Amino acid sequence: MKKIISVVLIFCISVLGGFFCFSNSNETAKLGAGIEIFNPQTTNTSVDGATKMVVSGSIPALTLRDLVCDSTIIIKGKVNKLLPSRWSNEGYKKGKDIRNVLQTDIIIDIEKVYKGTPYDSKQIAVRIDKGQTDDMIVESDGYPDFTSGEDVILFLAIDDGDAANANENYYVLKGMAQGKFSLTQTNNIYTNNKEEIEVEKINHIIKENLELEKANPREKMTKEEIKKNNEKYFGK
Amino acid sequence: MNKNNFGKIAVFLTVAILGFFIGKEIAFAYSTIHNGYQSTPIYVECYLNFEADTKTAISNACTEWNNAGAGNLVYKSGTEHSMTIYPIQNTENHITKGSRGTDKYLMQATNFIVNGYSTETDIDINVSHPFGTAGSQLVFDIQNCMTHEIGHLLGLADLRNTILDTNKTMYFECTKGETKKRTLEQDDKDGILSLYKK
Ligand SMILES: [Zn+2]
Repeated sequence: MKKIISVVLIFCISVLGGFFCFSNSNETAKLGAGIEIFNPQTTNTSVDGATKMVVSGSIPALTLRDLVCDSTIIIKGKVNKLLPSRWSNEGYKKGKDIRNVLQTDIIIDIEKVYKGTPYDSKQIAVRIDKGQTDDMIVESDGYPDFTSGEDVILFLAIDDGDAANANENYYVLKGMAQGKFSLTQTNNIYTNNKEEIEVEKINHIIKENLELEKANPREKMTKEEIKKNNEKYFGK
Repeated sequence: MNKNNFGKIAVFLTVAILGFFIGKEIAFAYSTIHNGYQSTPIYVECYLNFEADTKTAISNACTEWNNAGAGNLVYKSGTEHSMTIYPIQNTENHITKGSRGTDKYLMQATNFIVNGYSTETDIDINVSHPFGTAGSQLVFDIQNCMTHEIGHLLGLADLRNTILDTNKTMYFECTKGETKKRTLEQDDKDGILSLYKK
């Protein structure tokens, strides 16, 4: 009994110690920042003096039902490779006085299709808006990272943005990072860091959510309604 | 030293170190993208077709950060611009809009970073998503999202802990009707103080 009490006591004192060492006073906050948050090696990295672009933003929170119902295709597969990053413009070059989005295509070998029909039954590309060229790094935490050989379940959609390229076959992730489920330590369980999916149950999950949606659809604006609504705030 | 004592010391150290780091995690809940701007205040320029309510929401978002205790850091400029190209590196901090797509950010901030310091930030409103100003449950609140983006402009990074961070302005996800990001939490203020408090 004594032993347990002393272990708990040490634990509590240490938690408080850790807390007060890193909270409140600006001095200690900065000390903490020096250790964990600011990482000068990464923060200051620029390629040959070029500017680094860091893109950050807010993401609409999607539920599993949103992911299931709004994805064009849902697949399980393996990351084959990452293609070299390219700019979204003609000739894939960075242009002057035009919108420049650095993009990277991830090639996925399809193992199973759970919803929809992909443009190719064996291999597809998934496009994310970040990457690296010889003279530019674009970081964007809203998009997940991919590594070759990785097992993934992907919720995918058609790119409907202004940088979409209608002449190419590719998908984008539904809800950005929320659309990528990676294999966890536990076999057959995948996660997008919010929800977990057991592979054996995915067909059931999809069916259940599609039925729910049919019986009781989520309230949503159409694209035309969104356009009209937004003109009231941002002009034509 | 006998075996029994060694075991006790090992347990003591493990528990103490674990506790210390857990305490540190709880205390320290902000994160930064860059070292801030080297001189403040920053002026953000609105796209000229934005309606008055939108400009007020943007101005309010700036004010919230100016009240964080680190001085006057950011204002909506009286100057406006006519560019919907985003991002564009031209030394001006533009706020613009575009139909960037359903599966892209709601709003985003691009920081141009040189030697660890931000030199310019452009903010983009993705009008593929529905926005509003009255906290309607069908749209995303402009001031809510913009307060988050101004946090990025000033140098704060997204927070992603789905248990500890959800009430903070710098939490990375937004829901329709949400307005809680309009008001800074202590960790948001601590973050900005760490960057700008002289
Ligand atoms: Zn963000």
